[in-house]
Amino acid sequence: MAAGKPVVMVTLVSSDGQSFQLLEEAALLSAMVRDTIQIGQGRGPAGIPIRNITGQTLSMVVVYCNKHYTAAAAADGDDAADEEKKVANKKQLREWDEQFINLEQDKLYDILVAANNLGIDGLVDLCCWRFADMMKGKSASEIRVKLGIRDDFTSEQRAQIEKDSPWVWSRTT
Amino acid sequence: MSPPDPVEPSSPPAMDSALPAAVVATILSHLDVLSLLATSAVCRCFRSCASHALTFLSSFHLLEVALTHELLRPLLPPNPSLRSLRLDCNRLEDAAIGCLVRTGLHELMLLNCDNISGRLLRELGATCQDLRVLSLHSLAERRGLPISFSDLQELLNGCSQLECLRLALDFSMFDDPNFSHVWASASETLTSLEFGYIPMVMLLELLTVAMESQQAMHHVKTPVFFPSLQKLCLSVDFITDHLIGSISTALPSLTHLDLQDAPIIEPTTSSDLTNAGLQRINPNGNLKHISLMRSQEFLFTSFRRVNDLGILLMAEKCSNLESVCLGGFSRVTDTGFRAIIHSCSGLHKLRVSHGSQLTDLVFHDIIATSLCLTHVSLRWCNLLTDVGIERLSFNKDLNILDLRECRSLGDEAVRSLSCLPKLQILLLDGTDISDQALKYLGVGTCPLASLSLRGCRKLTNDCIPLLFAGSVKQNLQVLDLSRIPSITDDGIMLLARSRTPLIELRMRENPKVGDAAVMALASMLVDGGTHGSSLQLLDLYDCGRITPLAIRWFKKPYFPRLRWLGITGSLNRVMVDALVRSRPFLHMACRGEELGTLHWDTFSDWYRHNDDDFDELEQWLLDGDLVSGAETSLEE
Repeated sequence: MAAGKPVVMVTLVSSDGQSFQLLEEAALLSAMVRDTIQIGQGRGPAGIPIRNITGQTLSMVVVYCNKHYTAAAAADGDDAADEEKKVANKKQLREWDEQFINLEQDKLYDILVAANNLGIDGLVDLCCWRFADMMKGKSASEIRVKLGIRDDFTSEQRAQIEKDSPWVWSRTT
Repeated sequence: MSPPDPVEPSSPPAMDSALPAAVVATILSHLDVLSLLATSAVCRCFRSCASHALTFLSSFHLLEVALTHELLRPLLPPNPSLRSLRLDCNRLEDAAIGCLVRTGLHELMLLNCDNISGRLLRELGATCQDLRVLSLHSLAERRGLPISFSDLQELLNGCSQLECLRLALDFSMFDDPNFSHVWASASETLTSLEFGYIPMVMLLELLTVAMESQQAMHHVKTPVFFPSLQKLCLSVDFITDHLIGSISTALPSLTHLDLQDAPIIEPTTSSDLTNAGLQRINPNGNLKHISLMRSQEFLFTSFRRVNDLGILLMAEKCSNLESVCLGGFSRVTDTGFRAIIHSCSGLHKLRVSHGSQLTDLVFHDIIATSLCLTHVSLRWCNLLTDVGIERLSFNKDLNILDLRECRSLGDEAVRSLSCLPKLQILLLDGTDISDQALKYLGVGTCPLASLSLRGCRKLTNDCIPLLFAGSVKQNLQVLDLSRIPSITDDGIMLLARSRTPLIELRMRENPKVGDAAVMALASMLVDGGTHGSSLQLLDLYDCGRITPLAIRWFKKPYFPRLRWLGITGSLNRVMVDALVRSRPFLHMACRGEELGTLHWDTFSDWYRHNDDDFDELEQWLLDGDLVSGAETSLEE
């Protein structure tokens, strides 16, 4: 990448006061950071305060942003590269993503909330994919147990569900 | 909405309460349709998110159950993003056409359209201008349903973007003087064409018209036929020299040719394939896939007029072949088959059936070739022995191996296969293996997902613990233990005790299997005990000791995932009928039919699949996804 370009760093500060420095371009993956910088804030030494996101979660998000920024920069760098290499790189990144997101459920949940608040579409999608993967092929009750959700249907609604979808009876009970 | 469940202090916050509905809907949209429908019964929040997801899903694939129109309609609300729709139409009639025909569709695949008339084709032509892929199975097969040439005409005129057309139906109902000419108006981007049965006269006329238009191209402006066609799959009365010659001339850009015949009378010299015909196949060397099959469905017959010379002539121009399938070449010997192996360096799928003269010598010097075979099928090759398979096992990339009815194969063959690192499907039906072979598999390292031992008569109950001694139970999903006389309830109990989360289990025609086996499977707990049996398919047809008592094990809540059940219907008609009523979406097969969704699909043999289709099978194997029937598709 352009060597002469000045290196601009941004600081993100988590709710528990930990701060993380990263390249501005990497931080721009977040729509929230983008908006903050656009209105002319956040470049100062105080950094950008990120509410409701702990240092532990934010550190993971920063790792994700750095990786994806580097991958995108590398892909830009050799734009003459052949299709095959591009596909291979993409596949590699996907594998990295899957490895990265292979987390315990509560951590995954925190990251999803964080990614959603920060507006990082790629990471939101990745978390959604992982959650979906955990729910695949499970019955309703298994999903409830797994995700800690309470059954809040009334008995009338329950009867309606049985009527609407008799073929999943076995999976809904 | 609802507060988090106070189950344990460390439990994560309830997903439904803290996430925006849009995010939950995004999560749900990543699910397969059946799982999505299950989530709609989790809680109110999920229910509304699931029904929201149904309005923006880009694909709706539901082949596991055949829904009625009433049940289907609410699942297919207006959805401008819907591009791909796949359904089992077994319970749908013409009234549902409006539900199926949607403007934005790019792909439509419908199985079992027996009760839908030709109007479907007409409406598709009128509405779905963007359709790229259309696959219809047994349309209008119910007696008396109208379907005519004009329906086909409307379809071809209307769907101008079609790339892949697969009509698994009898084309004699489209017999019309204009049948050939209508194809000139078909989409120019048509690359793949698959017909069910087509009468020879219609086919030859079509090819003649296509040839004439090619030859006349420079002088007069004539319609162009099939400018981009690459793949052609047909079932005809007889594969003849004339037919091969016409296809080669009329469709020079083909890369994929798949012909099948099923003679009802012994073909005469003029209506049969000979060495001369094989010489005319693939004149430009473009073909990557050749499949020539003579089925013995009606008559015990084969390509009697083809010998090694024909195959040698064909192999000369076939250095680009990646996949070859030869069925019923009874006079071809090792010389012929070796010619293919040695001249097609890019070959990865090889299928030979009824190769009655194929011996171990075919694979004798396979190590000297650079072949990287992934799929090999050698059915009914009775001269093949363990030595040949040992040679074959030098191919470490083997993924699917079908050795059904190779009666001379024994334990040593399995020993040489047992360490293949990629072997996922192994079919050993009717081979001469004993428990020792399963011991080899049990301690081996194959990542087997599907294993068929049907009709291996030497096997006993002892083979079950031997098989599951090692890593096999981690991957195995499909197991066939049919027609093994010594398997008893004890064997099945050992199977249940191994807690292998099988998805499909076939054990039909076992005289000593009875109610205790069903009970053991019904009460089998996998994955921590919350699941109940993982089986989606269970075939107990003609098991000797099943009594009416077994039926109650199929009632709620046993076998919660079961969708296919094969059983002897005469067992107790009343009880079977009651079960059918209480589980309306369980497919019951009482007359000995083979089970599984794709089994009815005559197009589903793996050798026919192009790479895209095949990815699906691999996907299924890799994710353990719910696309059932991949194994049954091998049943033929």
